[in-house]
Amino acid sequence: MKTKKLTWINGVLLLILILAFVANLCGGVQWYGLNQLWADPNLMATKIMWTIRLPRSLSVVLVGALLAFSGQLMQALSKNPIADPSILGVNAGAMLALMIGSLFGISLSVFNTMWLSICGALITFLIVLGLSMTKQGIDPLRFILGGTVFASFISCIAYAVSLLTNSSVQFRNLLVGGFSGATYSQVELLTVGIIVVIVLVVVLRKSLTLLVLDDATASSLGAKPGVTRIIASLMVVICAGISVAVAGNIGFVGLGIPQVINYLHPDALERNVVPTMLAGGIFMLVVDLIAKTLAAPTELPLSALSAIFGGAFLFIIVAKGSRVTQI
Amino acid sequence: MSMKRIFGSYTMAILLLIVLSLALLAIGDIHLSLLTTIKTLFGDSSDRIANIVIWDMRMPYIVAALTTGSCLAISGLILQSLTYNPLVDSSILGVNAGASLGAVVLIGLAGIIKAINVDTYLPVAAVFGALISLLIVGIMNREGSKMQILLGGVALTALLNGIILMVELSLNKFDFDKVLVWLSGSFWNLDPGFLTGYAIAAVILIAITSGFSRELGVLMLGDLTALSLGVNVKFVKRMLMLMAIGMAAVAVSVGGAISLVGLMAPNIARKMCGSKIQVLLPVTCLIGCVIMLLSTLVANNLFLPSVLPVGLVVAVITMPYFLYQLFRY
Repeated sequence: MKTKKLTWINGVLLLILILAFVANLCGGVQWYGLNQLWADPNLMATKIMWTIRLPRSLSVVLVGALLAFSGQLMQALSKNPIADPSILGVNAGAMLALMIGSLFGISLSVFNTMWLSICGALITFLIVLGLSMTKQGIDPLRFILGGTVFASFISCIAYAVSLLTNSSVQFRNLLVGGFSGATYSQVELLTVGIIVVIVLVVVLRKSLTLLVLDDATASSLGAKPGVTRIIASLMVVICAGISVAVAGNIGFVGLGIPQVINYLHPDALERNVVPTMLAGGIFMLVVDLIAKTLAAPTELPLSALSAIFGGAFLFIIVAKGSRVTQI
Repeated sequence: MSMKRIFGSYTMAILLLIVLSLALLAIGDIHLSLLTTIKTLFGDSSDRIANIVIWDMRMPYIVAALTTGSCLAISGLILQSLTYNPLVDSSILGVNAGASLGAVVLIGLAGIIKAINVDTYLPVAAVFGALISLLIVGIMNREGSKMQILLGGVALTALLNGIILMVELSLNKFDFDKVLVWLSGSFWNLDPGFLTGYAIAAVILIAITSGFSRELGVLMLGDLTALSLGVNVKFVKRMLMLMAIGMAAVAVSVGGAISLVGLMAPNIARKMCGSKIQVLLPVTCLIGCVIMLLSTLVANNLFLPSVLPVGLVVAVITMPYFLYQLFRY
């Protein structure tokens, strides 16, 4: 019964994902039909479809999936339903690292952006974790509040850096988020990332699920909670890092999606990975389509759109409050 | 708290205030000697360059810093006292972001409808925005825990900042720097007439608040005690809340959404001179001014020839302090 429901949910989500993907591919300043893809390759519209729209839509799906998954993992790691890499400053850290790196003359090739953003994400993650450790362990609300303020602290430094070096135009995409410059090499990077993550999930699926239990119980069930936690943290950092490298500072995707999926289908983490990733992809496709088309030819800032959705969502959870305070 | 300590904290705050003001007037890309600065301040008009530099170029910064600093600090003190929560201020509750959004929407509307005069309606829009965001957070205030209210404010700020970013970027597509005024704060209008108006408004609001200082002190003991001491709790609370909103709106109109000064100033003042409100109120005000003056000094001079928006410097100073306070206990 349970597996049946899961297959059903996955099927529906996959269908919506395909529809959203097609809509995202066709939408933009000008709407093109899907048949444009197989039209005369010398036509402008066909070229646009292949060289601009397709890599963009692909990276949108992949970034959505990665961010949603990293949110899910983070919520399991911190045993806290309102955690997300952007709330805890991991995204902002990756962004700052990218900016500083490029100002020191490191060319922003795909490989360089990857390691720079992963380093930045890792450092901020460790700082936030270190800050929120108290003698009684991690206090969830304090963890999030501290992380949020730390995130805006990092963003302010990033703004200051961009102002001082007169590079806010150059870094505009990074600061406000967006997929307008997506290329196939970025898609490759994201694909490698998502494959690594999926392989790790398949290998570690049992221990990841046990993360939500307390350490003693997990150990008695044969897991190694310490090791798993380190690997899971690394996965969060990798997911968030390469997402920022491609799409800039987009927040809050990882916050709502895992919760919605968990509401529809309350189950172990390992079985909810696929639907969470699918839903993350769908959400990102829709938001990106809105950003592209709502005020065309201007492109709306993606970080603003996701902050509006995510901020409202966070406010509602906190206001309802019961689940958060009980933990 | 002994008289000596109270006297000491007054002297220290005032001394810092004077030193920082003089530094702000004297230091810059045109250096003036201390003697020239003081002479010019006392009306010596023999040095024309010094006169222009001090009165026309640097004095506006001091007025702006003093206005925003005192307003944010006192509104923070009021909010902290009324909510019994030392980690609260107008920026973390989303009030500053709300006022900021009000200002941004007004400026956007003025671009479309030419009949709207930004200067006249700016305070109205800021107060309106601040009021709405405070009401939204207040809905949670009824039963929420302290942390929950803070987190709600932070979430609201994120939401409002998203809207601000969107409105601003659609107004001026390529000018990302300008967006920062309303996201993190900057003295965006240094016109003397504009600043004088807000400085007078600030002085009036502060005067009214100090008129209520006895009641504020009694309220800190709890509603019941205040009632039994003959304070009209409901009226006083509303009045003080209104003052807090008004002052936050004044500060935002002058300097954009400057963060966490209202959180830092009362806490430092409390450490210096205890929590007796008649002393705490003026000292908090002074400390707020000191923080803003210091930030302005750093913002204007550290990275010459580029000038940073003051809000970014304030954030770099105050946010670590907030984290320290949050994780201390």
